[in-house]
Amino acid sequence: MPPLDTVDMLHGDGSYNPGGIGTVHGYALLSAIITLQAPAKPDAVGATLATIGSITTAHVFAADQCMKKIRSTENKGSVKVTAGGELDGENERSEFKFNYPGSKAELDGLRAFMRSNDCAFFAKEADGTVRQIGSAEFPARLSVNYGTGENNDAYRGYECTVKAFGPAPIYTPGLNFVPAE
Amino acid sequence: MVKRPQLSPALTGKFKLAKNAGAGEYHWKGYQFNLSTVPLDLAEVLAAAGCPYLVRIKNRKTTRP
Repeated sequence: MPPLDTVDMLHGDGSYNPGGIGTVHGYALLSAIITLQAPAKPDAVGATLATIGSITTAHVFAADQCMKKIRSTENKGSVKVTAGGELDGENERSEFKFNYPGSKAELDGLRAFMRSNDCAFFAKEADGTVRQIGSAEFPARLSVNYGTGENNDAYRGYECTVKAFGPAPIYTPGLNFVPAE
Repeated sequence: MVKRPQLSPALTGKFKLAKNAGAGEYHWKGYQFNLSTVPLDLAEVLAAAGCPYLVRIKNRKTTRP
């Protein structure tokens, strides 16, 4: 008997499937999360394809903590999960790119702060699906480039890249900006 | 002590917050809403879609002897 039931993989007529990412996303320090949920392991008893590929229970934040928002410029970002590793030892690497407009001390500060703090990012795709980049084993790392561009043909702002080993599971509870009690 | 926002008054008697959920801003399945101001019609739509932050209050049937 197979360890789990596989399912038909269909894509029905009229399925809503826009490309790209949305314009509001979330991020959180792992130190602000008391219980960090994770997807089911493929060999876990009772796992399904859906529970392997998603986190269905919301993370439990410490009191007065929650995700923080981060805005991105439309049509200038993406989420990408790339397979890697060698045969019989394959894994993934996740990358979330987005652009943040302007020139702000807070984002300069975030860039420096995130170098030495474990975090996870929650990227909202164009259809509202939220994917988590970063996990307990492999926290996300944020790297930021800044540029003013030239006067008449450029983008002034930050190019942000979030990287983490591992997949970017769908986080079904979505973005939650309500501080925990 | 900071006073926490309460569930939208429009939902009184019809919905309550799920355990561990607060009345604030959520982005869920393409919906963006604030549970401290959400109108009843949107709450009905969210509940029908399976929103994990709202719990419908079941009306108790009263039986007469």
